[in-house]
Formats: sequence, structure tokens, C-alpha cells
Amino acid sequence: MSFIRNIAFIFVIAFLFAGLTSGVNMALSKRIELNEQTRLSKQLLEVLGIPFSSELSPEGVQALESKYVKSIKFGPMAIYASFDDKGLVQRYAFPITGKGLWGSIQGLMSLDKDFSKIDGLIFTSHVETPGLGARIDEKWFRDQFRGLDLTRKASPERYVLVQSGAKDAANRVDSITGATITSTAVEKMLNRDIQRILTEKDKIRGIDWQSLPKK
Amino acid sequence: MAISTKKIALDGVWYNNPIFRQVLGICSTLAVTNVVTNTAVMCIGLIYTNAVSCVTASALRSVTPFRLRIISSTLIIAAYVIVLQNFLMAYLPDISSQLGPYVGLIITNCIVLGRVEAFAMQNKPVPALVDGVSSAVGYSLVLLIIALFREALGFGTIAGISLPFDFTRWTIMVMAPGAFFMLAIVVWIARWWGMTTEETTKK
Repeated sequence: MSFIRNIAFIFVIAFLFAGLTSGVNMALSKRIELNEQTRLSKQLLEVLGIPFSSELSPEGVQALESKYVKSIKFGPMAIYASFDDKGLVQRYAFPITGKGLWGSIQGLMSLDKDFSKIDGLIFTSHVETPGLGARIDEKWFRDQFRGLDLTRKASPERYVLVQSGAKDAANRVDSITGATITSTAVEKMLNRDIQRILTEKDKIRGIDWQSLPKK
Repeated sequence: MAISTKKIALDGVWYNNPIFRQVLGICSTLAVTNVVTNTAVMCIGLIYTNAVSCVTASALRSVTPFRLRIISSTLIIAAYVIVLQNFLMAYLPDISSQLGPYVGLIITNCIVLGRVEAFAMQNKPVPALVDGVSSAVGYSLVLLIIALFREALGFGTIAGISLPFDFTRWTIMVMAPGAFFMLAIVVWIARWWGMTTEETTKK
């Protein structure tokens, strides 16, 4: 008897609490999805150097994005481009990805229209240690990459060097104290993806953006 | 055996403090204490989870089969933590992304299951609520003290605001070993301070 009672108890309690969590989830999922969408759009606008106020509403962010940004599928990856008022490409943004300490790191990197320098870097998702590796999200760290010259290299194999000290090295940025693996991961993913993008740059330049519908 | 509310509260916050008396919840003490802001949100999350889980477990104590108490407690705690996580993602997306996996890890925090199992299962909902909140507050106090020292010494800031003077940062403080040192020092001071009380209660 107690066997049946036990099963009934667990069944009822699981039903009740699963109902509670799925109810809350259903009630909030639209809002969570919108938050996520807005966060990604804001990051795309930021990396492309399109100014906006941090208080901008989700609708405002969408409007800004559809006005200035277009995207295209290029092989397995997406390419984003921002345009000036005459409809000419100003910057390109590329998704970048790499292996961090605890999981994959994903981000967006923007290059100027000549592919000669980095114009912005932002991380869209990662699971690095809060307070240590997660500090790659901080502005001071990301801003160091802005303006790095891609026509020269830090060393024969590297465009970018993420390392503290060695002040005179070209294209060097400070790493994060206490997060050596994350810093090295960022360096690796950038160098690999920059190489990949630069080998395709003529093809990317040839994309006919005019014929594409607005995002 | 009605225990006074005051005694339950004092036990939770000080005499039976989960960190330096019971040595529970050490995992999150070590993990989330390098920046004060994250620690504070984590503490609020734990106070909420502990309070509602204790009340629920206490309300269900007469119908819960003895052999199924752990599985049902875990289920209750997990459900409340998922609700918390959803609310953070919907209304405080920035803090939620900063805390990353740690909110979810409240489910495995030993203090919550410890209080539910040791106290809420044998007591009425109101004392269980007092016990849950005071234990979580005791945990929070210790965590905030550790976080304050770790962030100040390791980053030279408190809750993100720079200290008015400059010094060489103790990098070790923001890494795992710093947490072990700070925790040991806090436990040592708290036990040395509480020693006299322990002796007088023995008589």
C-alpha cells in the first residue's frame, strides 16, 4: 500500500512543481526572448559603431538595425555590414568563435571597409569564470582591440598578441590577470578568424549588397 | 518543544552559522566571492530560495513519505530556483548574464537541503521560515565580508567603485586560493570570538 502511496505522492508533487515552473516560463518566455534579441541587436550595433542610447526601447533598436545594417549568409557564416546614408559599406562585422576555459566563446568582430584594421570587438556568449575570464566583456579589454592594424603582424603567426608586458610589441593588448586561458583563447580565435576572413576578402568585397532586402 | 523565534534567528545567523559552524555551502562561498555585486545578488537569491523551500517542505511535512523526503525536497528547491532564474532573465537580464551558472547552482547548495532536512521537516511553517531566512542571512553576511576583502585587495575596488588610494593588487585574492585563505581566516576569527559562548552553554 505504502508503495502506491509513495508513487502517487511523487507524481502529484512533480506535477504541481513542473506546472509551476512551466507556468512561470510560459508567462515570461516572450519577454526573455525579446531581451535576448535586443541584447544581440545592441551588440551588433555597438560593434558596427552605430551610436544609440543605452535606454533605447527594443522597438527602437530594431528600427535602427533595419535602417543601417544588412546581413548575408556567406558559406557557413553570416556577414553583417553597416551602411552610410549613401548606401555605401562602412564596416563589416563577422561572427567569431573559439574554445574558452569552460565552453565556447562567441563574439562579433568588425573590420573597416578596407579590411585594414579592427573597428570593434564584442562577445555575445561565453561561460567564462565570473569575475575572471568573464571580464573579457568589460569595455577596457574590448576597446584595446579597436584600431589594431591588420596590415602588419605581432609575430609571423599572429596578427594580435594578448599578453601583459612586452610593451613595444606590435598589435599587443593587455591580457586579463588571473584568466590566462581565457586570454589565450581570445588571442587564438581572433588570429584564426582574421586569417580566415582576410583570405576571403576579395569575395566579400564583391558582394552586391544593393540587391539584398533590408534586414 | 517550541523553540523561541529569537533563538532560531540567532542560531541561524551566528551560533549555528552555516559557514563557520556547520561548514556548509563552502562551494559557492569559494566561487562567487571575488566581486561584491555578484555576491549580493547570489545572497538575495539564496535567501529567497531557502525561505520558500523551507516553508513548502514544512507545509508538506505531514504528507511527505519519510523515504521520499530528499527527492521531494530536491524537486521543490529546483522548481523555485528555476522560477528565480526566469525572473532574473526577464527583468534583470544584465545581472542574470553576469551570474551565469551560479544561480542554477543554488539547487545544489548544501545549506538549502540542509535546513529543509534538519529543521523544516520537523517544524511548523512559521519557525521554518524564520530558520530559512536567518540561516541564509548568516551565510550572506560571511559571503559579503569575504567578498569585500577579496575585491578590495584583488581589484582595488568595492562594488565596482575604485578605492581612493593606489596599491599593488593582490592578484591571488581574486583567484581560487584567495577564497580559501579568506574563508579560513573568517572561520578562525569567528570561532575564536565565539569560544566563550560555547563554554558557557556547556555548563
